[in-house]
Amino acid sequence: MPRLQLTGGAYQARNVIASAQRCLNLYVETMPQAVGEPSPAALYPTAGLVRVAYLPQGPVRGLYRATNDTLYAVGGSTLYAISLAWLPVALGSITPGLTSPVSMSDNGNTLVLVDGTSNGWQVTLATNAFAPVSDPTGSFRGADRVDYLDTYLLFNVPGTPQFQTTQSLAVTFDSLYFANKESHSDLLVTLAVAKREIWLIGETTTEVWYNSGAADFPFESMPSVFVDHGTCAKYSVAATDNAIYLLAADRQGQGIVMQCAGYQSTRISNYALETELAGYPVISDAIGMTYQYNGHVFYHLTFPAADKTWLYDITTGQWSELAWLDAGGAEHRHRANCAASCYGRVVVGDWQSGAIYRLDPNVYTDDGQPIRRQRAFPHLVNDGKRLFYRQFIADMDAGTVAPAVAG
Amino acid sequence: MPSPIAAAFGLAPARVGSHSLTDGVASDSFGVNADADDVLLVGLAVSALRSLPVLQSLTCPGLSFARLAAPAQATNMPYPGGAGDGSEAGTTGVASLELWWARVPTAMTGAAVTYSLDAAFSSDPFNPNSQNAMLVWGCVSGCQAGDPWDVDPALPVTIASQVAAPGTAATVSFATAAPDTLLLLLACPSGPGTLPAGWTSVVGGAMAGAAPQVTPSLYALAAAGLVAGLTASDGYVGAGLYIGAALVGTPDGGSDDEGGGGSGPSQSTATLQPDLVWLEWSDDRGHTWSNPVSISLGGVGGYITSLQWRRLGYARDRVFRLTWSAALPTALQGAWIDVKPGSS
Repeated sequence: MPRLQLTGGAYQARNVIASAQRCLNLYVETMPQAVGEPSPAALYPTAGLVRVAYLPQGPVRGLYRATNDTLYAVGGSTLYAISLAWLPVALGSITPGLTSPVSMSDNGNTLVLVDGTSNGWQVTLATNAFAPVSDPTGSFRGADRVDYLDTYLLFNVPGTPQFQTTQSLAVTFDSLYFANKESHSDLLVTLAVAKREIWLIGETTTEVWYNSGAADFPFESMPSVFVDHGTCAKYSVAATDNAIYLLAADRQGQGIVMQCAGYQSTRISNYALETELAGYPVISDAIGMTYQYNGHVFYHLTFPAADKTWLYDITTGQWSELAWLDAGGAEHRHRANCAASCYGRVVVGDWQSGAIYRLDPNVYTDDGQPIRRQRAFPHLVNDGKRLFYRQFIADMDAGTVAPAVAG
Repeated sequence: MPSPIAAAFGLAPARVGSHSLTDGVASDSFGVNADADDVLLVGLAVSALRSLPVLQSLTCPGLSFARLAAPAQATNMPYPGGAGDGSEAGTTGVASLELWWARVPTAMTGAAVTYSLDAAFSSDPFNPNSQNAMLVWGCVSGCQAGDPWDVDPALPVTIASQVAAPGTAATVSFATAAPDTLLLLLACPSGPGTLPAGWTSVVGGAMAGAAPQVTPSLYALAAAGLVAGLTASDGYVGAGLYIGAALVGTPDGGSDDEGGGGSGPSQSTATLQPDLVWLEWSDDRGHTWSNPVSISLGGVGGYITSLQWRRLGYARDRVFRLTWSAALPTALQGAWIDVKPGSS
């Protein structure tokens, strides 16, 4: 019998007569050709969720593994340190009433947390002592994003073309430690560090800075490097393996998912996904995160207003759709709002409650809720003539049992 | 006309089970007079000294349980008694509450529930014998035959977990405008609590032994378009844990909002029958889909099962689609089709 092969990911084209290949909660794994198996690829279930901790308030707005090997989490407007036994200890309160993602980073001694307001907070890693960022020079103006490079903590200054840094190995500030993104006039949206370089990501363009060690301000713009894309979604930016992933915007349009590596930006979305995103009411709220399991590195991009989630498998270059089923059976975006790897686990925080889950490929429910998997096949045609379908046999594993899962 | 739920509201016999866990797995059987479409409720309270327990599964042959409310946890439950050697007296422990539900497909008089907790829970290094798990189970009987219950995702699930001084109140609030709602409360005060009038006790009041004390009680209130609030006062210093949730029924003659039409498997079916895979096809180039046809994934050990569908009609342009939600390690590589070309 002829075989219907599945080798790709989700591809539901602008018009379904071209392609209607939905790939929901499944990821593609291709087989090495030398193995010689009849099927070159298989679709496996994406990881399920097991709750490991529960913060009194939700949503979980940020997760961060600090260099003291402790997990820090923001649930609602409270920062928690979470122990190896997954017990949260409240450290202090940040700006009340917000639900947007927060950003955390540390310099080995002190963790700094920013939430998009003009305030920041710090935690001494040795004692977990919590305090607001205090800056007698008045130069710290808050940030959406904090990152670390060469002993300095880096901040975007919201609503300006500027970024600023702390002094070396301290959460203290020098009123001259700031610089403008200058190659184009757009505002700085966020920043990210990859390959020991700072990517200053603007509304429509991006430039790259590096540590030159200069006396007055240690960072300088990398000459002749200019990326003609910025981002329309400041929380979509995520980094892994010296590359940056983001939902791009430029002077020509927006809504392409891109990978930026080695001063090059590469389109990783396809027409099908770009058409899908163009139908969303809002894409500027997109949240991106990266994580790895079973050897697959994923860029997970979730759209809160559209209630949709897409998963890019960096290893295979294929897209999948993720969805969580509510108790009534309706599909919503995946529960993950943020991710971190700590205590030997990949953990994600819930977008609604204070739940923190372990992302586990050997678990086949979302914390007890069933996960719907769906895959549509390519169109079957015969030169416009009819085909009589006598039999369809799914090449699918049967008779399996759920494995016992260690805690 | 009274609310259909209010008219049908009744409570079948229910009971409390208490288990001291040593391996993280417990099971118990219970008797209950349940008719088809009754709602079976299970409240689970677990306590320990250090490690917050994580429920891995809650299973019962013939029933498909789903978590109704997000779990509530507290890390400051009082631990007045100690484990016997006096070393832990006066310390605090941790506790977690979860509320699960299942629709009863056919009349039943008893069932056995098995649940397992994670390994971290059962290997609490501080005192491995100091965990308790308690199930409270009850049944809301007399629900309308043929109309499954929905859990309304629009209704808030409220969690309160707090340290309450003597006489201090913990408040759980519900706000619903749905016409026909069953409100549920799983309460676990550290001491005797008080509930406002109107709520019916389904089951509760048990006290587990040596571990931090948990006294889960399950309460229900039939409601119709109201805003309900509940305050439970706490007799002792300690944490109170409360979970509120709501089930929404369908009024007489109303249609249920679960059907997927021709666009996919019925959502309730996909949720409640875990061992099936559905095939659908589109003969209009991917615009609309046939009714789904399901077959079993083979059962445990049925590795040789061939997942095949026969006599599938004809089309000029066909798209097949497979859907499943089994909590099993599955893999899909493709399909084989047996076709015969037509002449036109």
